[in-house]
Amino acid sequence: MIKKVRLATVWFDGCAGCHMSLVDIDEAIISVAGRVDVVYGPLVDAQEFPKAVDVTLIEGAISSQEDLEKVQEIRKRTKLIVALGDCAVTGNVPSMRNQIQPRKLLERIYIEGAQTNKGIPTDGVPALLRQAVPVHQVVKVDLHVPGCPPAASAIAYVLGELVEGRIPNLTAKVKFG
Amino acid sequence: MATMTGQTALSLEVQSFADKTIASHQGKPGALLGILESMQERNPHKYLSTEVLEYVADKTDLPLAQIYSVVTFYALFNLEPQGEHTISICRGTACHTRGSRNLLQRLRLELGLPDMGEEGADKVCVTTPDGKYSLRTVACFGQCALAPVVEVDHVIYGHMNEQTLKRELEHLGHGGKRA
Amino acid sequence: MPGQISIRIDGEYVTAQVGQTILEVARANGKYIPTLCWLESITPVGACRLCIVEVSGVNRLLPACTTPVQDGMSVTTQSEKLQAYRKIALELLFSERNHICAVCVSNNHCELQGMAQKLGVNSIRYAYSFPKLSVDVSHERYVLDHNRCILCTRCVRVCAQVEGAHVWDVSSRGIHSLVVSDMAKPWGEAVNCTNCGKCVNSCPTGALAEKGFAVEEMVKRDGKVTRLAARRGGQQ
Ligand code: SF4
Ligand code: SF4
Ligand code: FES
Ligand code: FES
Repeated sequence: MIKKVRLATVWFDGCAGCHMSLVDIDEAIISVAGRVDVVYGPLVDAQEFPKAVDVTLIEGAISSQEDLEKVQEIRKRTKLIVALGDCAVTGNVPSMRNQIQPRKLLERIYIEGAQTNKGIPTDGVPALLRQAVPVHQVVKVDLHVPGCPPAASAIAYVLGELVEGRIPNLTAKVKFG
Repeated sequence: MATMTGQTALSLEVQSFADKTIASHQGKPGALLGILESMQERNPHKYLSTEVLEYVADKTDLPLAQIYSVVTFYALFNLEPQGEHTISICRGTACHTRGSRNLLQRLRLELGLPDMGEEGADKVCVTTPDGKYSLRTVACFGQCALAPVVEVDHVIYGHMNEQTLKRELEHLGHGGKRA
Repeated sequence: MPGQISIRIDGEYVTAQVGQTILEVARANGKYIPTLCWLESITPVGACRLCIVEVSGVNRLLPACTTPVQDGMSVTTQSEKLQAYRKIALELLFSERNHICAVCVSNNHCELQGMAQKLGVNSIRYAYSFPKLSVDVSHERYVLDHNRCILCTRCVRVCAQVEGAHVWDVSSRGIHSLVVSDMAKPWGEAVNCTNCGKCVNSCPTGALAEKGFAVEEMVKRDGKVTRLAARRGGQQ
């Protein structure tokens, strides 16, 4: 019996588009599904990030203190990290705030821009990092799959190669944007 | 082709100085640099105003953008009026590791110039509102062995610290002239 | 024939004319060398360093677009080393400005983005500098977005050499460089601008665009500009 690949997916500062693209891989999902155990992520119920994960797909930039701590823990528990999509790979749209101090940004949105209930939310909201950064700026990333979102076919190819134990060669198969 | 207005706010005297300077550089290589240098030297506040640049562009038939490119490329040209005294702090690597950033912050404080945070740590060129002092940063004086290096009115001072810097400043404040 | 010389490109013997650049000869012989700042019939400047090649006997890499051929020269256009350096040059361009392809007018039609795909640049290993840059919307028809500019100076050269207006140039130096119109005035106030749009069509990225185009909609037509340049007598 072939050992199944323990796959996790995480969603940081992104729009969920990459996860959409992931579930959009059509029939490829069937061949892949038999070969992987999805052990964590928005698509399953698991509460805590498990130990000994083979592959983690990361969507989204690292934007908050919580993202940072989580991704560091994920790195410890994962063999191969894939940055999935432009936000994880380049910072993309979340990084468009990087020229503005977080404090000023929050004031602009939650005080100057608010009609009612003016005030910066603090309860249960993690502190923003000074800048939203690509995943590889804070932990080692083994594979980058850019795209906004990456094409379903590219994701299918990546997963297909990974379950076969191969590292996919993405030259000319993916692009930013 | 440059301004197309044919009008200028420059005094007749400055105009005739410019005309003579341009004529004397005619046909020489690097003419533009020489012309601009003379124009800046002539100005009591040692700078090139937009009007002067436009006038030069008009008379030399050089594009405005090209002239602007030249005056912003060379650190020697000023686009703002300069203070009576100029203090240049080296922000090169050697001087940085020897604390030139602190010297810069200290000078800002002494001169009452606003702290510009992250943005103002590297490239600075400001003049105090009273027109007495200009503070600027330099990429490297090529005197790294003397780091940190500060230049006060064209005189180089090596191994500067906050005390010696403050003393120099007080000296200038009491009408001290250098060089 | 007078002025005819022989050089080798990737081992193949080809004939060339004295005064031609390595890039011109390579192109004439169907050899691909990546370029970004080069534009046909416009004076080359060697700004982007993507076209670097190896020349035997020379121990540094040379830009093909500005290096003239010499008799007996042997040029290598593709190698692991060249690939590595071209990637570095490209990644530095991305790291210096804010390229957000997903929301860019030039998405899917951009030479910078296309080059990344072609060279297999899937991530940028250098920290992004996330500079704070402006967008000039003062011109009635066009926009300049410094966030997307790679300082290739194609706009500068096309405006000066083909249109003869020389509205653009590059101010300051190094990391502080910016393209500026006239005396760094808003583009809409540039007295010499003829609204011809040649700079916009020559710009390889989303830095110069026509107004009224949304994400992915801006398609450039640099062929129009280079054909005109050739007819007007080419490089000066
Ligand atoms: S200019 Fe090109 S590389 Fe830059 S954001 Fe736009 S599409 Fe992407
Ligand atoms: S605006 Fe466009 S053409 Fe001009 S230098 Fe920038 S990238 Fe090149
Ligand atoms: S780094 Fe200051 S003199 Fe060289
Ligand atoms: S194409 Fe030769 S340096 Fe840009």
